[in-house]
Amino acid sequence: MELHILEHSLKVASIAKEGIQICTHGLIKLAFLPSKTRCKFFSLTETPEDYTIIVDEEGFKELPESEHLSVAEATWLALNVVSGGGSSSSSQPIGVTKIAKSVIAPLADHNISVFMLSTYQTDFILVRERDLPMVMHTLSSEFTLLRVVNGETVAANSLGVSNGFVKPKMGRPVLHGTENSQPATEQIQRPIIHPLSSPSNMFCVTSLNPDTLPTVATLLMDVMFYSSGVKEPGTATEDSGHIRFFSFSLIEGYISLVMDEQTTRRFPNNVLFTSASGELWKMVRIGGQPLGFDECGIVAQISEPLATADIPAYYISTFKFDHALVPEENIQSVIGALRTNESTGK
Amino acid sequence: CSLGYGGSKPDILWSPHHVDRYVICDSELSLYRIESLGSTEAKAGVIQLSEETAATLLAINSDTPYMKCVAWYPKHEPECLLAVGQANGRVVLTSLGQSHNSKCKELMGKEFVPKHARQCNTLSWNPADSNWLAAGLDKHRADFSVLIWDISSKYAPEATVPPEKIRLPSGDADVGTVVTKPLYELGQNDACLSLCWLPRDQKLLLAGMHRNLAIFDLRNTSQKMFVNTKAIQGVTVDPFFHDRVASFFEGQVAIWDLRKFEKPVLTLSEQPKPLTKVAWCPTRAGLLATLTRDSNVVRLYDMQHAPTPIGDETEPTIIERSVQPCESFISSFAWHPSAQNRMVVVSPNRAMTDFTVFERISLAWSSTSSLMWACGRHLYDCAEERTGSEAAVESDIATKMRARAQSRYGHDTVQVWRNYVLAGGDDPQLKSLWYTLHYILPFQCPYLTLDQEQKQQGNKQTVVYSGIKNIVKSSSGTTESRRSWSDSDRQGDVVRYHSEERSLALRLCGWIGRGPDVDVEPFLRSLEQEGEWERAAAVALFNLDIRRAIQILNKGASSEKGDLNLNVVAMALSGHTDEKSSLWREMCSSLRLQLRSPYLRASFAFLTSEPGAYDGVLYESRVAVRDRVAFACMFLSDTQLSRYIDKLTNEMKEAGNLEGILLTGLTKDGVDLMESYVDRTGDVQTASFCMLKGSPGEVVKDPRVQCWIENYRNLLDAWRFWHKRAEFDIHRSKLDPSSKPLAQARS
Repeated sequence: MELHILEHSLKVASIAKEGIQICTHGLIKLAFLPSKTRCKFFSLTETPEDYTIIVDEEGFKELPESEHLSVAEATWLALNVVSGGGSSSSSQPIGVTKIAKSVIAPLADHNISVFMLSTYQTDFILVRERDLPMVMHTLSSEFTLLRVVNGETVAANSLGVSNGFVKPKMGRPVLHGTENSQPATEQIQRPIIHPLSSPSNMFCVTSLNPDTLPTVATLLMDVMFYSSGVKEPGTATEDSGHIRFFSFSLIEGYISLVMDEQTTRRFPNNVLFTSASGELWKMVRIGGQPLGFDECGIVAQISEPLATADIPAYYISTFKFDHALVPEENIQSVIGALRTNESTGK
Repeated sequence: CSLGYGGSKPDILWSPHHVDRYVICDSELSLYRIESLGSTEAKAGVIQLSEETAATLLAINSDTPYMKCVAWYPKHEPECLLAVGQANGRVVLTSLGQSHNSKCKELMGKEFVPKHARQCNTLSWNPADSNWLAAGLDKHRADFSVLIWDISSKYAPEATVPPEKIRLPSGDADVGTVVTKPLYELGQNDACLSLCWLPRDQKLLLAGMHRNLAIFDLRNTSQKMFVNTKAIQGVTVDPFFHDRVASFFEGQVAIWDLRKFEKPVLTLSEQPKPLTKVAWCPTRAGLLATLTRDSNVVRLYDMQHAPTPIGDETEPTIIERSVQPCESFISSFAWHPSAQNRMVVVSPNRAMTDFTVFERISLAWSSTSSLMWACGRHLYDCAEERTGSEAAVESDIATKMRARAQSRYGHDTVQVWRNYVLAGGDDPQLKSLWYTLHYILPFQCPYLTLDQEQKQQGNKQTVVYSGIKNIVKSSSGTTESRRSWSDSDRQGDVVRYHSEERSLALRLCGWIGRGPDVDVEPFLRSLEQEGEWERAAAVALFNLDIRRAIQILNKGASSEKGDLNLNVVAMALSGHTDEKSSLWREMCSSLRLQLRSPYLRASFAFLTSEPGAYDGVLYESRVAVRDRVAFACMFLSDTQLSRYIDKLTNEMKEAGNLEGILLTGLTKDGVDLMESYVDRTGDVQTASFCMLKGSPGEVVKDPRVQCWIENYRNLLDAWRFWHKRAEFDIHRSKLDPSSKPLAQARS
């Protein structure tokens, strides 16, 4: 397995709903006019609370300074797992599930906070730039570490921490006694710390050909910026309620869209890529209070039980909460499995 | 093909087997037949492609929207079966202008659908098993990007997903034509931009993935060979050299050797605009054509002279050139599968041009003077024709040098003048050179300075080395004597100059022999022997012996093949008078210019000249330099002589005239002169042998001399004259001990 450390230096920002109009110029440029900017990594996710923007430094210049724009202080780097071999087995668990045990759990064990962005094409694991030496050290036993430099992958040197360090194996690393630093072994499950909810609507994860983007640009703008009429305050936290959730990303030329089923019906035929099996996804939303960026292990708490149960999932972190998407037919067993863990930590 | 046919950028594909058919694909597929113009002239709807060819539109297929790439079925039958990769990743089989035969009908409209939709970037039919079709798709997090479909496979729903989960769009009601289970799936969570089967094995597939080139081996799909690179577009195997692959990224083409698959063996010069197509010529080894966006030229890279396999150290030679098939921008091009160097290009507005890339003509001399030139697949040999003795055309210098090498030219170190004979005995310059060397060498060879007289001359060694120019410069103690004609009683009014150096110069000119004897008679006799009557007469005359001159001319007239006119000349001579205003003088000075022999012209010039003014002799350019120099040494004052010699030396140096070696000697001046000679003739052989005689002086170390010597050795090698080469090396090391013989090569 290869772990690619991508060259984008990323900023994570939140735009308050009431402030979106001052940012629309920049956002439209980033989303629909990629040739007008030097941005290579752009993601916008709308939740009931806010808009979360993940954007590289070039793209960040397009956003105005504003009281409505909050930026997480760190610079983030995106990691990407590539299966080195060309295995022909088609029944592998996919997405976050695949990397839960190999990447997310070890990083949680080493108290490294991660920020997840699943797209139609791949899963990005965002880590703070300053954590990179520790990340590389932690993952070097499982992965061939490669760094992308000027678009070309080169072997990444273990950044100076390898000398004197013992390669991390199972067991408890010597770290500060935070709540997440319990030894994670195969036997002991991570407790779920934050409240979970599951909105009623079903989601599609899809994409479209960049050539056809102009034909649906106005529709996408409508979906992105004029959703307030649909939004019903208070529904977000209700298990049975409908949630406003939409995600658009344009990363290295690839478009990824996450939207609920009703929204997909607004698109013309043959524009959105659909899977042969037309799969639909349900959401598990994590967090009662805003999660912040420092707490570690949240992704691991969710993804490990899913991996154990072999359930595929998408995982999208936003400025305030985390969101997992699981196949609709699995939602009950997922909720069940996670609820079992929910109280054990308390 | 990865451009996608959004309607504006037509691509062109040539039928792999029906050499008169091609397809233009943009938003639809159009099949054309190409034929020679004569046979189609009358018909309507014919599009002229060149002066000789035209195309007819046979069929249009607009059944497959969202085309991203097209690949032509590689087998002869069914004809015109095409695989189309679509924007949603589906691959559809379709055809054009098909007579509805059963096999084709079964395949028509068959669709191959990936689990997750995304753009199909590339298609490649397996050349060995034509049922295998590889498709390269964009990235999906959980899906594979390289799918190998078996076009003969039937729809098998149970194999993949439960039937109740299949929610195919309603258009796919005819579920029997849809295949969802690929034969192989490769490249999970990756993107595939280009594909190409490797001819080495049916199960090897080369793919340009997101950030690397990967070779998938279908015999063991869990492993792949890969190299990280940006150049992942348009992978294509050289049809003539199966380990050589081209790929590109933006404006740069990388050439790979699969046996050394770590980095490109070379990268071609970067173009300012991104490349859109790169294709090896199928009819000509090592010729790669490339096209960039918004360009009206096809750039060609000729790699046939690149050593294969290309090593790390050797810098491969690539000839780069551009051809411009038409005025407009080129949207795409396709090589004709069999016609040599032929391609059809298509412009963005679908204008088509049939174009043949003209081969560069390459030309080479063989080491044995025959000439070869190559154009395309034709090779022409041009050998020198031997048309008997009548052929007045002079042989090429290489032919001459080769013949001279065989006759041991240059190797006679005892009778040095004989080398002129070995050289063929027909070149006056070589004659002069070898006689000069013959005369001057005894003075510089220490082993010859045994007797007293020569020992004395031996002291002058350095003087002799440096030629007459320097000898006369060092001249001192010149005496003059008034001389008169040998049979005249009158007081002589001809002033003759004498000095030790002047005698030495005369000796070097070959006029007088060694020793105290200054008699010119032996020289005259040798000239008589060689039948050089006019020259002998002139030399006798310059020695003021008019009777001897007349005698020589008479002898010449009566000799075998003698010229009776010489008697007339003798008669004219006998009328010589010193009387300044005589009729004889007047007639001689005006008529002498009509004489054909330069020596006779010089003779009468001498007889009619005012004392001390001998330009008619000195600048009679067809009189041998040695004779003019000898004359000057006798009749010019020190100042006049020095000026004359300088002037003559420069003249000789500029002309590269070997007679001038007499003046320059084997000095730097001599090397300068020889340089002009080599520039003029290419005769490095004479230059090498001549300058080696200058050893152990500095001249041999002159880089020019070393260059001639090395070139001559290379020539001997090129002629495979190994023994001659060895002989030359021995000769060289004897004369120039500083030249270390090369160590014997052992392998």
